[in-house]
Amino acid sequence: MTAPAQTSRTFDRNARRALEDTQLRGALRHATDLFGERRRAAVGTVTDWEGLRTQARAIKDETLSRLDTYLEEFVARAEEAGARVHWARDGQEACSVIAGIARDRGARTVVKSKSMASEEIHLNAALAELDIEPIETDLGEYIIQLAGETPSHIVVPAIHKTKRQIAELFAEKLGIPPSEDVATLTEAARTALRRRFAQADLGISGVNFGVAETGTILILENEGNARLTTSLPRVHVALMGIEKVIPRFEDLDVFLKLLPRSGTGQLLTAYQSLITGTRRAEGDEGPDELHIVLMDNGRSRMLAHPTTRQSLACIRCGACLNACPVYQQVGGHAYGSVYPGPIGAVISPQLFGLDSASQLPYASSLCGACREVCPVKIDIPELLLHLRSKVAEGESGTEAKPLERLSFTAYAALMQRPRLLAWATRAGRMAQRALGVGERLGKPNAVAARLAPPMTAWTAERDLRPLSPRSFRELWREGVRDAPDRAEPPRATAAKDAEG
Amino acid sequence: MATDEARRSILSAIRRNLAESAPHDVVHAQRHEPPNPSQRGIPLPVLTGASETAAEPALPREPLARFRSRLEAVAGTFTLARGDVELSAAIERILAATGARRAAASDSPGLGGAGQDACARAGVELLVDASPAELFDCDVGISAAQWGIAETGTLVLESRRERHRFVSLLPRVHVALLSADRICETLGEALRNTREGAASETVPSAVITLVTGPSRTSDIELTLAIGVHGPQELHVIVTEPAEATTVTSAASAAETPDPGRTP
Amino acid sequence: MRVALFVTCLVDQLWPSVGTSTVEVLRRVGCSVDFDDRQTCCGQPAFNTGYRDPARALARRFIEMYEDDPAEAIVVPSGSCTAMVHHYEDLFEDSPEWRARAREVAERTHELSAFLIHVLGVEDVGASFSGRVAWHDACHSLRELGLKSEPRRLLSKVKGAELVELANAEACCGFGGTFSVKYPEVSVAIVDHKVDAIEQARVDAVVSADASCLMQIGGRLSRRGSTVRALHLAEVLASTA
Repeated sequence: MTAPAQTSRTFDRNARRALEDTQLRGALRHATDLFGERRRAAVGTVTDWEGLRTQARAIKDETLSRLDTYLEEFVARAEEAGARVHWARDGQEACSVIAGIARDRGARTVVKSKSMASEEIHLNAALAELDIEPIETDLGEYIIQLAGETPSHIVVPAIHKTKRQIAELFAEKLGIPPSEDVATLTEAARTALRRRFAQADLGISGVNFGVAETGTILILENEGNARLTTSLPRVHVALMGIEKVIPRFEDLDVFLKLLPRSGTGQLLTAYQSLITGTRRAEGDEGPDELHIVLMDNGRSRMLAHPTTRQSLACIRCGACLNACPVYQQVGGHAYGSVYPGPIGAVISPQLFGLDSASQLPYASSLCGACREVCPVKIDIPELLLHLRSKVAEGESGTEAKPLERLSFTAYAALMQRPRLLAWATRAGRMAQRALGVGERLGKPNAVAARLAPPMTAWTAERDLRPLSPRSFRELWREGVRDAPDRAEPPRATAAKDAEG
Repeated sequence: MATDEARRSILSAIRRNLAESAPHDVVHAQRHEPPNPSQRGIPLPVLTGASETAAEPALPREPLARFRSRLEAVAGTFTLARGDVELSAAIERILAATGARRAAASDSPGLGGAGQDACARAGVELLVDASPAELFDCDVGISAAQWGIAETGTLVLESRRERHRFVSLLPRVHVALLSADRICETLGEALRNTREGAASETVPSAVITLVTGPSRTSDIELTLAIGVHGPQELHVIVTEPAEATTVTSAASAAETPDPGRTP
Repeated sequence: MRVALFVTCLVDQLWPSVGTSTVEVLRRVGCSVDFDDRQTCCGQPAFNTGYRDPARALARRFIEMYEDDPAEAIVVPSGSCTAMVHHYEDLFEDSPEWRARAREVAERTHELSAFLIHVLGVEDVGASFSGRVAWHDACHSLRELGLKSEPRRLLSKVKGAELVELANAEACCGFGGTFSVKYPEVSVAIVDHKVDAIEQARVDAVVSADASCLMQIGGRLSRRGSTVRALHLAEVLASTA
């Protein structure tokens, strides 16, 4: 396991900071609204979207249930077609393999197209130790690399940066006159990177899907940088998580219908490269060598339970991020992990250790919007609840919270004794009156509010509904149970009276 | 070898974990899925302020017309050329419009004389068998496409049929010739077509590239920019034999409806 | 029809008018209502925070209370509590017997609007309420129980009520149980997005089927000085103003 950023332990602080950043919040609102609309429109172009999701999930389930077999088939076919396959148990091993390839081939200019897996294992840092700096060629990743930052979204890594910030960055690093014109900025990046493409001796890419039947790897993109990265240099290294394999060539159709629509609302991204081994004949175009690095890094462990196994179905579309009310407010950096948002909240603890990311499963209101938009129907709320139970049980070195555990034990004891509960609420109402908490829907007074942190947390910005002077069960005993006309139905004005 | 050890270790970890999961799998399979509101079949009442999803404008049914519609929606241009004379003229028009000085062509036999004629008339230098270094300096790359996909306006390029990997990628402008009878309805169909051919060709090409419009990005403040690392312009010339057929005449007429015709 | 009312701990202690309104509505449509006063809490707060043992104890209690109850249906004025009951079987992975018992009870447990529309086949409960109202889709009701058109159909039959659709009716209110106090600033940021839409819709009341959502939305509305009221579906359906 590679150590994650320490900031995944402090979601609460990160979130507070993010909420104070009005520019970030505006950018997030704009982006998530836009992606949401586009996704909805694109989904509307498919007659049976639900059927497609079910089919995709079935393919993933089938694959994961026989992952070893499908991986072996994939490797056999890929090697027959000329690829060399390397297996890496963890990120360190993957970095070491890739660094070895780069060193052995004397690579000096290395270009890289987008790969979340490479960020997961801090590949760039590992290569930097050998004085090899891979150049990120995806525009968003390039911007992040120039700025020395980490991505804040799976699909649009620089979503948190304004045109002005990018203009200043390019002016500083590329020496161009500052301009907020997007076409100009894009052209500047294109020119700068074209030189690198022309010189590159090694290209590193990710893999969206690996087909067992043919040994094909598929890479989706819009910019053309992945095509350049995987065709110009003599050597191509493709980093692939073991969960990326799918059984048949025809299965690609299902995922290509789902991924672009879910992620960006496109019917298809501008380019898909389906690479099967190396060039067939000497005069053909393309790299001399293709190395596929198959990486585990904690993924095989997720197979151990059906609830966690579904994490591996993820196709990294980013739809859950855009739909999540929490992500929409705080963005990706608050999660302190290369994988943010709903899917990040469940795979980060599993990849990097529950103790290092124990807040993340709680950083959700369990609304289920993520599950609704997931193209492979991952039940993220189920996963979050599963992980919360692990944290509550003090698993994997997570800090048990004795006070919290005690209060829930007490709560359960109380809830199994209705008479005790009734007594406790009577006591609570007396305390309320003593503390001057009114019967109106209003702020409890300062003393009451400071009595317990959860109360303060609520009352800082919301009014708190007090305990009612008479509970429902008391009203029932007094007469609601009898004739129907005894119960006064709340009128529009009567309801106001009851409240005030 | 380290990789063999890693392989054994990973495969055995997979098997071990799947076995550990087995007793839970049965119970888990019985869990009920949340019901989907849209599947309950109860219509919503009409409400003030409820927004309606804009219905997609009806797409043409005929594959060629649908291909055109989808291609243009992603900022590609479409031209229909019947016969070599029209083809050459179409290429020439594109060369002139893009202000090209230097063009490169792939080794596709379909390009034949039409490409050379067009370049000669337009005064554009034409390279054949250009190296990547030379292609970096070309303004236009001309190639064929092996298949088209109507539902998405996509071109399918197979590396074993043609050497067009760089010619379709490096120059700022890509001109792609596509035979009308190679337009499939769906992506699935196109993928199947790439698997067919000679008995020995069950292995796909070294690379199959699907191209849907010119290169693009929205990485800067979600503002669309066309033309990033790949071509900035994509011009598709769909070719047909010189004898025009009624079907394709209707297809091109669909763009400019005849007011006298009954809809 | 004979129904058993599971009123929920939140309604019992903080919002009893929701309980009395539910009883009123059920009687009006011809049901007789039982209230087993041994009831307390469905166990959701413990389950959602990861404490499955306390949740399991309360699940057993609920199942034991209701499995022999002669009522044909258990009606609950809360989507999240109903969803919790439907999830009880997840707490008994090790016991097929308890899973079966949990499933049996869950099949008879219905959220109020689902009960009216799907079990009784009733849309018009004889209610009247004058004013503009907007419906908030509580997350559990919407996504766990699949309820979207049901409450809207019921509200559209309320005489005098003008039902307006919020721009973000399906958006979460940000409550999420302990989430609301573990990450209060985020919770408030989320509810502000909802409250902005409510204010833009210029309604007199926002209505929902979950008291917890109403506590969150209502608590923020009043802190922001809004006069928009947060009402439970049962209260509106019981209204004859």
